[in-house]
Amino acid sequence: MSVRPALLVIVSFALAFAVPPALDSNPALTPSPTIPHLVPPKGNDPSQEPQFYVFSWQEFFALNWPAKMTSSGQPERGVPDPDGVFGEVKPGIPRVWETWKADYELFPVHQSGTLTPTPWSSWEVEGGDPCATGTGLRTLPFIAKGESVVLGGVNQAMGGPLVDQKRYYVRYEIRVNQSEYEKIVKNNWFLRKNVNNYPNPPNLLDASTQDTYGAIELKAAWRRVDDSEKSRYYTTQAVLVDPKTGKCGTKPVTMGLVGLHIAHKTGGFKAWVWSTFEQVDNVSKGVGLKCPHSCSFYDGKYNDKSLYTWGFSPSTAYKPKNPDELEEDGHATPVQVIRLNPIKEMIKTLNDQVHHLQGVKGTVWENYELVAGQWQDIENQPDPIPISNDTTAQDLYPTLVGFPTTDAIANTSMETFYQGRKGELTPEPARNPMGIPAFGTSCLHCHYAAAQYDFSWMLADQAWPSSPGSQGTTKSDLKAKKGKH
Amino acid sequence: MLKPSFKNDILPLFRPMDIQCMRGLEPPRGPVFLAKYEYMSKKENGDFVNASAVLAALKKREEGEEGPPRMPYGGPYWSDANIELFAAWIAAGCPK
Repeated sequence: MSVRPALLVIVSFALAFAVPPALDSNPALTPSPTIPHLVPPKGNDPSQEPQFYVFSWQEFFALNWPAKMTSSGQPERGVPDPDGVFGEVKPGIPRVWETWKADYELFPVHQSGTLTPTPWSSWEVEGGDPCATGTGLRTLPFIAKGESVVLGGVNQAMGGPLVDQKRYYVRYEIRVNQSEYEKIVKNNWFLRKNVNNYPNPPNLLDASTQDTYGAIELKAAWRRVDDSEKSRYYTTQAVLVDPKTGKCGTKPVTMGLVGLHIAHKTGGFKAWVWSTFEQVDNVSKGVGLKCPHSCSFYDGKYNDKSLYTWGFSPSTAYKPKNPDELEEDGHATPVQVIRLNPIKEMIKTLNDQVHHLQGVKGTVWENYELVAGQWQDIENQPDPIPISNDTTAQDLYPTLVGFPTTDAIANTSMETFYQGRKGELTPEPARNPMGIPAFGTSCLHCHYAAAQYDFSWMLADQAWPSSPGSQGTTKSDLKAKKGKH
Repeated sequence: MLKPSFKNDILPLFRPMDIQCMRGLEPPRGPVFLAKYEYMSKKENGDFVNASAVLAALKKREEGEEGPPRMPYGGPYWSDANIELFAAWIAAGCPK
């Protein structure tokens, strides 16, 4: 079955901004189809920090480069079109990252544990495309870490679902590059029985070198956009799975990209280099402040205590929900969200420079911004990284050499409920409403809890069976399934 | 199955996410050490207190019931067959 993402985007938007202080003479900031292999070590030199953010934008450029199409009209997985233009978005031509394998291709949906993921270049999906579109459209199940696809997944990673101002649930997808995909397939790690648990040796993926690519893992967040909004978004056509019923939609809808995580294991950065981007209309900069083009996740008015304290409201929105507890998609209660921790000035300056670059300015990509990045200082870093004992409450994160102590980094479209705590209560940047300090409120801290699986929650929780406790058919299971279909 | 064991039958039913979440929970909800046999098989006054508490959380059916949330938090919930297996493990004296 073909699963070729198709794209429909109208892009013709140019805004006149004052040009920020010039850095656009930096050749590294020119949009390029080449994913950077290595990032210079930061060491203890704060002046090196901007290089990481440039690295993040280089990744964004390359991953969002138009994919190379074959003569048969299908994209070539992971290969950029050398004649492509970054700012041009054409129907039917996906971006490079959209051609990477999705999690449901790496961990096929099945009951028996006998299916093997298809070769990297294949567009066949072992076990079948969840919605069997057969039309080359992507399926956007409501997925979350810990659950493979379609029926079960309803939540953000370790949190509840996010509902936008139009009352629709935000959808997520996870994709991996060829290196990560083939490493997991080669080691049969897509089957849980082959994955090492603590205290056995961790399951390590490869890191990029000067000449080869190591593991890169992406997570994207999408929201449904209407005709009045879509010129501000990179969009795709997708068949949606109803999060409440598990049924596939009958016709595709236009989805706008609202968030993109990029995690890259590269060089000496054994804890990966983390970059996260958002669409600029996602949230307000503060309580009571409106977005210039209306916020996707804030009405500009809400001002309750939870917004000041946690950055979201209602205060119970962080709780994971099972399908029975969900409201109807399109009629759900919106979650009000603000950005609790401002984007660093250094990053904002870089974003302004990027937005004025030739090839970016006037395109849809002008509406995306780097929100944050994280990495470890690799000087004196022990290798392998020590892993916390999972039979105790041990959390080694605060003791790890070179790991960032600033612990309040979140993408508001994907980690809405992990922005830290502010407001009238005692500010605690690492505090999360789940009451699990070991997850912290940042990429590195949370993913360190999955260090046994090389910082990949996807590998930790989607290896088959993804939810072993829920396996096994019983009378009540059958009854529940009948109720859904 | 004659006699379920913790290592072969019970521990594999928990996801890494379950183990990490529960062991990280702040008091009074936690911590709960799902991967630690000595904790799960702890006996007080003739009752396997920690295993029984986990079983009660796994068995909860109705939202709004008093006590801690149903496990796993947010689902997907355990099948009846596996809940019965867990109960059988406790009834057998929590074999290692």
